[in-house]
Amino acid sequence: MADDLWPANLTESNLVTPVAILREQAALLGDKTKQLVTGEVQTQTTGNLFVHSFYVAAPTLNYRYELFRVQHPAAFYPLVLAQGQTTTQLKSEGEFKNKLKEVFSSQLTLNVVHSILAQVRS
Amino acid sequence: MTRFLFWNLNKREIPGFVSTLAREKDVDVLILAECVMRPERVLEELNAKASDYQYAWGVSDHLIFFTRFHSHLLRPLFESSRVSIRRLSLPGRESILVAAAHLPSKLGFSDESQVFESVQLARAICEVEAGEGHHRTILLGDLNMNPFEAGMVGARGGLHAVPSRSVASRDTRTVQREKYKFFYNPMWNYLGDRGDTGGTFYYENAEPVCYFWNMYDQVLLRPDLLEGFRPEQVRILSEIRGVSLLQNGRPDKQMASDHLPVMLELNF
Repeated sequence: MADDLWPANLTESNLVTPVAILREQAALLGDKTKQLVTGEVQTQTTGNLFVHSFYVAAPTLNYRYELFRVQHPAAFYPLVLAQGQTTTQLKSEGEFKNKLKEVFSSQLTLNVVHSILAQVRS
Repeated sequence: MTRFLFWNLNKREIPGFVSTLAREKDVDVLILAECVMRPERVLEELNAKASDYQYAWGVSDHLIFFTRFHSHLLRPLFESSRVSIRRLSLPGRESILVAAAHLPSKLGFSDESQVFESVQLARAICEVEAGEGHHRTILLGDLNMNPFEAGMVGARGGLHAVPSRSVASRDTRTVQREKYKFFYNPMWNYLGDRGDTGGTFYYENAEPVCYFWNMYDQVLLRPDLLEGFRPEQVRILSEIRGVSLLQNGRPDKQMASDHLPVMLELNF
């Protein structure tokens, strides 16, 4: 039998992935709007990077708007958040969450959510 | 236990009834037919107190779906104006197919024409099942036929839905050297007057043949989903939180709809 060179704690992990954080926030958006406007996260891989797109969506209109994109290697951080032409490097989970709060509170995000909500209700 | 509810609203704008019913019965998948309310309006009412329900997008103009699961878990695989066949894939469980239909009414279609509609529906289901590689399928809908009509019972193109669970559990039947998969139709148990009603839709006229109560709204299950299933897991609902949907023993179409809702509780 071959020697097992892997450590015993190989599968023990309590890391919170960036995509889990994004999905939580996506679900919260739906909760706040009676599911009229929802958040969606779509993940792709390219090379050794994970790329997560965060959308603001209107399911009844079959419409979605990409608010920003996050990409990171297998080790999560540093990750890059790209919104429009602007990219920001974030070195930790704390920095990532702070940036998300900033993005969600921005006038752009408010405009997008308000506009989609109005479109849904019109 | 996953709860499915189908209700033909008869174009009535009754979001409060729909919401109360869904909440009272803990409905997981809600399918509405003849719903003239925009999905947004239903959604706002459903989620007035908690945002549990999502609209599950589709293109069928006769049927709309809402679900307490993430809407991505209830994806359309086949849709037409009157039919929607979706994959319900819940975490940790084998996926099933949820088919819904609102077939043309007897007002516009002869019995013979309805058989052809039934054939189209059965074919669509079989094609999606072939694509998915399984027969774990339920069908809910206003089929505008009674369980005993040819389009419901017939093999060789029909839905082949039989009243006997033991017969349906034989899985297939050979007719003219070809095998046909059964559906089990538990709605036969509700014909007659053992329950509150003798069907889901009441129509009385002066023709010599008149059934009065009709079982147009039905739930059918493939034998693959019958393990542990009890007929009581299908119910015709005649009240919502103590408010009767009947007047003089018939669906109160002034207050709610001329059809009664049907509910299925399913373990899979």
